[in-house]
Amino acid sequence: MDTIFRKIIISIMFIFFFLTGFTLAQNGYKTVVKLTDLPDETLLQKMQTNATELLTEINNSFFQDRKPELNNGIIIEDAGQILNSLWETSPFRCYETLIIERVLQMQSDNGKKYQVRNIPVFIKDVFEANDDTLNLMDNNHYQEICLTFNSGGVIENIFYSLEANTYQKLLNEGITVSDIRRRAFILDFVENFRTAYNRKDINYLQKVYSDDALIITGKVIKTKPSDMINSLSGVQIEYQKQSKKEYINKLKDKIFKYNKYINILFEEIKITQDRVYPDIYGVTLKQYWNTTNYKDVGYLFLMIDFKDENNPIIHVRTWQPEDAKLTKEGVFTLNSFELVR
Amino acid sequence: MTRAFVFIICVISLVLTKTAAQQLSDPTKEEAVKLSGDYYWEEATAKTIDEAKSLSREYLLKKIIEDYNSKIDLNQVKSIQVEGIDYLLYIRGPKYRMIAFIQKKNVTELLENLKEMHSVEILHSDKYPDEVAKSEQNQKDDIITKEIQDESTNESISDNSVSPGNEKISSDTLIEQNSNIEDRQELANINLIKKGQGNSKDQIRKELSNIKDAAELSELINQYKLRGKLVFGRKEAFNNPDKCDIVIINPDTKEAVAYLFQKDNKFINYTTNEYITDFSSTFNGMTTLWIQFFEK
Repeated sequence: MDTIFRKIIISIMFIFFFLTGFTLAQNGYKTVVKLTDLPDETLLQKMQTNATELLTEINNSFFQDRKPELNNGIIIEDAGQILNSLWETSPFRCYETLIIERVLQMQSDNGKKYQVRNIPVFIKDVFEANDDTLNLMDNNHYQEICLTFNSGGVIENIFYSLEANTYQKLLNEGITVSDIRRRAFILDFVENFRTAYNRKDINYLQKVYSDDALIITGKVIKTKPSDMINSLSGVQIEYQKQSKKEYINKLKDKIFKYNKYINILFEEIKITQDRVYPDIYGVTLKQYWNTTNYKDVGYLFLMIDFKDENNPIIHVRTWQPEDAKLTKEGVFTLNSFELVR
Repeated sequence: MTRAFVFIICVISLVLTKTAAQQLSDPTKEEAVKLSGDYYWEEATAKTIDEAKSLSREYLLKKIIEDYNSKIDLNQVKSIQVEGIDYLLYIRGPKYRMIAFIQKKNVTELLENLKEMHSVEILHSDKYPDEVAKSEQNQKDDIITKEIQDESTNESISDNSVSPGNEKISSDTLIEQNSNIEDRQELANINLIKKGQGNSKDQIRKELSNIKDAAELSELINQYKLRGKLVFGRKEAFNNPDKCDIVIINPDTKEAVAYLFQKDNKFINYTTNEYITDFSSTFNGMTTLWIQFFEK
């Protein structure tokens, strides 16, 4: 009797889970991607098919509460891992059922690659404590992703992209063709750098910081009225220097460990080239750091060495609170540092 | 001082395609613009409609200039006045997305006119090589900057020559054509605050089914989309369209004529509770918008 009862319970549970799974699967939808501005029709078709497969699988996985499963013909293994690590932090789905975008071509030392930008996605479970109203106002769920394809039309990277107008504006500031090309690479790097924090990719960050990187973090000191004379605006900032090891350990053991989701936004990006060393670029940007437990706004400066274009290295990273603008030294730029090679 | 450059106004007329079919969920216009190869197009996203429009126009003119700069020395051109730019307006996430477009054949006509005038002006530029050289780089930008100061007269020449009143704002998000942009912006903001606060599927259905104006409905649906409450699209986009609600829109009046939900493979009018026995004939000629909810 007991055995029969157990069998009935198991059968009921099986039917329940089957139906639940079936209901979730029903919520899936396709995102069809149509591309333009690529003369090679065969390649265009392949990229369209792969992007459609990827986004549709992402949408369906989102509702079936599982990781996306894609074969190597659609996405290369490394990119699949990037997608998985983004997924582990927070799953997402595409906002739209139809995407029509241009293909952007990029020429690298490794050959041609292609990008499709401006793909809007909805990020799940952004912040546990947030209610719907707060999310609506903060638009925390909204991101745009960029897909990078190799010369065979297979997806080789996926990252959260900069806001479309910012990207366009920064590219347009390039004067010569080579400058525009270099700018595209810098922006590509900045976007990947940002996404590395989103997906908590400590290995990537370890790789991009040079071993002797100068890492400086500033914090505002509350001054007494008598100290005002030392600063123009009454704002004083104390700077703390860290080694790469200290910084990486802090990221790994504290920030990444205790925050489920890290949302970083970059605005007011400025790119400058060093006059003496043309491979050295300074990137200044306003960073909005928003995590489960903490948020702040400040200015980030990165001195990036593009001598090896495929493996850029960061020599200097500084973070200053927003009030740094009001101080005598202002926001750090390339001119704030003396580069000796 | 004699003018070194010629100020050319080329007015081209664009025969606007009938835009009645541009409705929410019907992306045929965007597809036609972007994929047909017949149009120059550029798009921009921004927090306000005005900004999105201004940027999309700026990018469009820049694109045309880049495309033609090798054929005609556009450095000779002080300002181009272009009429006939058309726009598509969408809502993407928390922002407005505007696509500015113009038929290529109309641009060709414009450039043919420029070519003729240009051949005359070369003589002028030969007379003033220094000025030409000095200003050459900046002239390209001048074409698309908001205000150009004329050297000789100190007159202010605005390139903001596309009068908003003449522009057709067409949209597949059901935003009315020729309606006032500022008004719509205000409407969107009001909606953000007062509407779109429903949480359950029933609350949202009720709110959507009460709205007749297609533009207003579009704004609201997009608010819910942004909140992750629903997704909309063509019927084919959904794994199970029989789980979707359907908004029926009259493309001529731009009014939502019915809000349907489905039960036991039958369509039911949410407002009247009537069963729709023959969907195709009942709503023949109407535009449909399929909505899938993520709430139970």
